[in-house]
Amino acid sequence: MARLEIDGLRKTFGRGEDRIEAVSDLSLSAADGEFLVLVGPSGCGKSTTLNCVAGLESVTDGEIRIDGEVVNDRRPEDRDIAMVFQNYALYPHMTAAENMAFGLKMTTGLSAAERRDRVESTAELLDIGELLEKKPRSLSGGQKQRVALGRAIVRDPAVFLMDEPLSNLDASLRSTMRTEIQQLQDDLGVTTVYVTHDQTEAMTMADRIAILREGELQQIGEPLDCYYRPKNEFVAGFIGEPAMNTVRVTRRGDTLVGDALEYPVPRRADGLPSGEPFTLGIRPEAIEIVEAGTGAATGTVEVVEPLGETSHAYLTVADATVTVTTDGPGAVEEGERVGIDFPAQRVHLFDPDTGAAVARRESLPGEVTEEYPASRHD
Amino acid sequence: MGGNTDTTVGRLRSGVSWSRLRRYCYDGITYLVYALAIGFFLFPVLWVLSLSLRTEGAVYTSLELIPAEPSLDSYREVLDSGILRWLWNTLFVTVLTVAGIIVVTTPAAYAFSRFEFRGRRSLLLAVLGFQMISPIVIVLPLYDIMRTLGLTESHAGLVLLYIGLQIPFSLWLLKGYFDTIPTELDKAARIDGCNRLQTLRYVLLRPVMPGIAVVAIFNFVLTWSEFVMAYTMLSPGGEDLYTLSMGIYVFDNQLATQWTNVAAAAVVGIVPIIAFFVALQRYFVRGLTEGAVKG
Repeated sequence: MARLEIDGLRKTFGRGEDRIEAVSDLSLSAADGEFLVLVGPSGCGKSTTLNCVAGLESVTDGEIRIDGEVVNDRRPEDRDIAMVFQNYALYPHMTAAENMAFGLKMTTGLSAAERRDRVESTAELLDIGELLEKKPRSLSGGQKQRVALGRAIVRDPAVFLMDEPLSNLDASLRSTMRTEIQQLQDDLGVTTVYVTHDQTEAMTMADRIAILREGELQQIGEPLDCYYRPKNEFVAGFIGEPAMNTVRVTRRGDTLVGDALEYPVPRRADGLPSGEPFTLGIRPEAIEIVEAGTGAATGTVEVVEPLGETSHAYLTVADATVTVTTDGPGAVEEGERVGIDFPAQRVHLFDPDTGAAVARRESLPGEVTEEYPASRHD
Repeated sequence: MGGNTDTTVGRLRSGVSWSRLRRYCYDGITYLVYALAIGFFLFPVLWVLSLSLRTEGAVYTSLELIPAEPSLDSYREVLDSGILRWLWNTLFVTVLTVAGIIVVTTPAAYAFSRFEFRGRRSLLLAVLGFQMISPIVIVLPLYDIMRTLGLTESHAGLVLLYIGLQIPFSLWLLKGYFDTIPTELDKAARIDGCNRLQTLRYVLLRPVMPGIAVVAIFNFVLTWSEFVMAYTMLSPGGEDLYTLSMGIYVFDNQLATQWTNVAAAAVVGIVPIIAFFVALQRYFVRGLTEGAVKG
């Protein structure tokens, strides 16, 4: 177990005009035993960061420290880390047991019997004892991923690095494995850095998530904090499914005015200058359907996607499409004109140029109980 | 509208559908073309085998593929005439050449597949460019160079020459194969404590084995039957240095009238290649379909 610190990490590829900066001045840390998830769209630098931590990529600038010691120049095997890959990366000519024991054979002085003991006890932990003599080609996707996890666990490393380990699994297995990995990490208490582009994985598994975009850290914090108090428009749009609705508004006195939308300025945004444009963000699940002509705006329901417990309704309000999550099926019907309204606590305001959040809410739901039930005023 | 009524469209009275009939026809034509192709390539070999089993007189009098009175006399004569020495020389040169090519091209292909370094693309194109040059065109300058180096009239010189000439094709073939192996395996190996050479030795060598088998077979066949280079480099050195292809050529000249002996010598020369091919056929086919073609 160990603390991982990334300090001012920069990683570039190529030279001259072809130079690409994959990671720019990234600083973050994972506490001892913490489950940190790096999340972001393709090409945001999350896997490059992981490879730098693993020692598979050299660092252009900055420091990586494990338990206080700078490991920039250490080879991967000397960093006390283990890694799980997206496509499992099991050695195809070795049995599951040989795959798991290979790292021990190459890096420790353990005897064959000791290696076997450790492999067997890890296999027991993962419930893959009966797979040990099988080769990867005769294992299913889920079994391969368990063996790959076993290969990492058997090394008893200070830090686990996981690069989209569930991406190749089907939806139901992914959900099962998600729980298993969480439970394993809890039991073992090993500091874990987990890379994914799937925000559901990030939200459900992480102690904290770090959201990256184009090599830069956008926000790091607890999943619900990033969800309720996004630092910028990118984080607000990336975290949450369906994505947050955004509309351009201008402050006119005590009202935020947009195309076909009027909303009183939330109290926490009182200090914002009048006449300035802002981006107003509101999550689909924060919107409630009201009678047409009342509420913040009125629009026409274009499409309804029933999902069982909830439905997604897509409304046209002026020229914009607004997504609303409603309870159950039948709350609205296609073609119906309805009004929409939302509580002030759930309104997000962003600077339209920089995307930075302005007048961020200070607390999460539940922390200040009077914020709920919903109210149009803070 | 039952499927088995006579009125059903697309179905014959017998109950066989038109589409199935069409498929039978396609299959029939396919097998016919296969049979013709196999016959075309196999007939000369079978004819040589047939000649080798005849008595000298029957060569000119009979057109039967299976001789009326089979005889092994020509094999006895051929085996007594020094062909075993040439067979040994050929085996020696071929095995060393194939081993040399694999030893050089495996790490080279690994490096070209995995490492980004300055000039990588140019080097690969240069290697490919060399492959475009026919060895016949450069045989005389090569002879000059080899003579200057004192490497003519020696099997070692011929082996070095073969390795040099056959590396480009083998390198491209094997690089294509390495390219199909996910780089995550290399990463996993490095995490598991392997350096680059250990990654190649312990982790990648086995998955790339079908590709190596393809390289081995191609070069085995090529080297075993090569004539021009061998004749140019070895012929002044005397018959003891000859490879099989040179031997058969000499044999042909010396015993021009004894076609059965020439045929028997050819059969003796072919058998080891066929045996080698059959032994590695599984890898060969898998290697072609998995590596070189896809890569």
